[in-house]
Amino acid sequence: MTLAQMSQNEKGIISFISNDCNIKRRLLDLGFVSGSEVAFVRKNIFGSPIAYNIEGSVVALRKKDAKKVGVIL
Amino acid sequence: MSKSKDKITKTIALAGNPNVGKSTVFNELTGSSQHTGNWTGKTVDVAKDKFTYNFVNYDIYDLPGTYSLIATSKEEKISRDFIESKNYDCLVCVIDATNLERNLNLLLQISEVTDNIVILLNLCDEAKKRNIEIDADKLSELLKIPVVKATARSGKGINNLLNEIDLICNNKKKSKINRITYINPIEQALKILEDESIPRYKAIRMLENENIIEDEKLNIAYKKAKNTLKKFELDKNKFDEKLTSSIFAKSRVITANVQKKKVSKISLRENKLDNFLMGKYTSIPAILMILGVVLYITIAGSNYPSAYLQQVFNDFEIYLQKIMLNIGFSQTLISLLDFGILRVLLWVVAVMFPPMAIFFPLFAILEEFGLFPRIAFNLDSCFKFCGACGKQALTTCMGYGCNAVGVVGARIIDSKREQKLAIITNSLSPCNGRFPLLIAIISMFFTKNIFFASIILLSFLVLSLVMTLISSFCLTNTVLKGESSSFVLELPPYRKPHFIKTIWQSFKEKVVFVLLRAVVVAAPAGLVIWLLANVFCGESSLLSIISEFLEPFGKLLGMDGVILLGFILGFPANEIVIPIILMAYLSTGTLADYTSLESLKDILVNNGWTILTALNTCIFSMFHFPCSTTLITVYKETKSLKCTLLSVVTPLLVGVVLCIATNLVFTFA
Repeated sequence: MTLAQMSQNEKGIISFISNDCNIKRRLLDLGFVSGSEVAFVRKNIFGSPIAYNIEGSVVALRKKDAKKVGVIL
Repeated sequence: MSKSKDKITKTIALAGNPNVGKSTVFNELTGSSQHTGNWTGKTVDVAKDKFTYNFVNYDIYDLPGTYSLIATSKEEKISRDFIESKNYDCLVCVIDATNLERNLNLLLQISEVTDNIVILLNLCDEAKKRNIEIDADKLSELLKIPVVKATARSGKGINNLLNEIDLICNNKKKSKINRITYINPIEQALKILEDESIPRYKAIRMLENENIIEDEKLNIAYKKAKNTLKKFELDKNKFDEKLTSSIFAKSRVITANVQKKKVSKISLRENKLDNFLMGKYTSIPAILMILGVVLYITIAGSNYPSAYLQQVFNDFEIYLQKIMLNIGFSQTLISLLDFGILRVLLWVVAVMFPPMAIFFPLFAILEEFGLFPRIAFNLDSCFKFCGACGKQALTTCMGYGCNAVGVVGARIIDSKREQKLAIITNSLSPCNGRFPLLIAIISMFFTKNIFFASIILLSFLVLSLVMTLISSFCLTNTVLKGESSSFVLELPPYRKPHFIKTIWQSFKEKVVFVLLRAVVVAAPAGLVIWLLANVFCGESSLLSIISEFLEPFGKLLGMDGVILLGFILGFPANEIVIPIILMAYLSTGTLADYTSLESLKDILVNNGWTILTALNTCIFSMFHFPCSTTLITVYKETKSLKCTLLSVVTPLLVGVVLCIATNLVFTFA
């Protein structure tokens, strides 16, 4: 499954970032590397952006980008 | 190493992730007052200053925050190039103690480049509050790099830092280059290049991208290294991934070794605040409420000092006139000096200064607290719909302080197209220099009640936001075609603002700024108005000829020629628009006493101002052309005449359309 499918109170481990994600480099630097723990934090009213807790900080992604990141619960 | 002629000048630089307090450390070391804030990407340029410690002079550079040396954005490249240039004697790597693991990612990369590093473990107070314990000695031992614990905001640890800098710069201490072990194929490829005596970090940069290498021998090695990667199917994407995950793996191990973390009450409390500020139903009302309170304090707080200043200045003027008469100045000269130059200058200070001096510090506190990224989170869908980047909400917010700052701040937006959108539309948010005009007109013509006045001002702000969105939408669908791209928004932890320090610092900045600008801009503008009013061309003064020429345009927009002239002369600085308009009215009519807002209103009403004039002057002040400083900044940032032109046309068009619309509604309703 992907980050976009996570819901409230869920935690997981990052498994991959798809190559067609155009902010892959930035996501890697922020700690979205395979093996990192990630937790869902909150969603905007409109469903995007979505905030995640990664490596101790809170980072928000748009939904279409969250779909590019694989996660294992 | 520094090769400066002066042997005792050493160069140091501050590097680190965004929003870890580099600028605060910079200020503590140099005693300067670089603007600080609580969000990612605040420093977009290199700041430089100097200080002396232990008889050694230091040049210090504050680098823009960066997550890694594999740079993606413009300001990150600035940092990377600086770090890899090695033109420094000591690099201070500032690390956020509350976020060790991610910060180590950058540190480990830097420590492959240079061995002259000190780690400044900053925000230790925050870490303590969050029940995070870091064993600094152990960290230092594991990394073989000196570690200084600090809370830069209150100056703690700065002395220890200076001591370590001294040790490193003067060769009394060296740290050891750290090597990260990557997975096997990468190590093999690196080895090939390292055998050609290429430093490891350069080899990594070379392997990351496709390079053309002049040197034949080196080129063979490079091809060989690249082939090794190819054999293991490590294309650019995979290479990047493996590289980063190896570094993070090491960070994780180190973090696990030195850090103890327990659940803290703070994160629970912060979560509650976030639920309020970013919650489904509460987010928009909450933010409007906070802004409303700030505006209320601004209006309420500026009434009294403004009236007081006007009284004092009035007395001062009368006194000065007497002196000038006694000295024997001619009437014309006195009129020129007093009504021309001095009065505009004093008005700028009396009417414009108090609201600015109150609003700006309050705004700085909100910034320090960490509110802006939350606003960006809430509004992203709107910006996305209009083809813009969610971070444009951040630059819009900065625009409320100063448009030129907002325009420079647009560098945090990665996509070129979206960056241009943010730059072009920035002057649609009324800056600090325009707030006083809005406040003065609202309290003269709409309501005396402070509460209602702040509601009206708040609606003006909302209107400006709506216009920003509409303009972005129109631009996206016409001249700046494209789709909204991806972006990452960091939501930093809340930081308790340092009220006194922040208020004092931004107040100080504003006092100097406004007074200087008042002298530089208002005085000559007052002179121009006086000359226009007193140089006659046939029967009528130049002023009346010009304002009569502008009159039809003014009337079409529900204003008059003098007001338009005020805006045109206010091009160098928006602060002087209202004083200029008043001066122009006064110079043609009788002189009135102007010791209160009420008397200013009388001047305006006597010159035909109605509610419509007042409303449209407000609208036009929010939406006309940017001030000269902003315009120059737009050109500097975009290097494009088209964008500069658009940044004039867009707000002007919005203003003209809105003013004609209200004019029509008022005429026919």
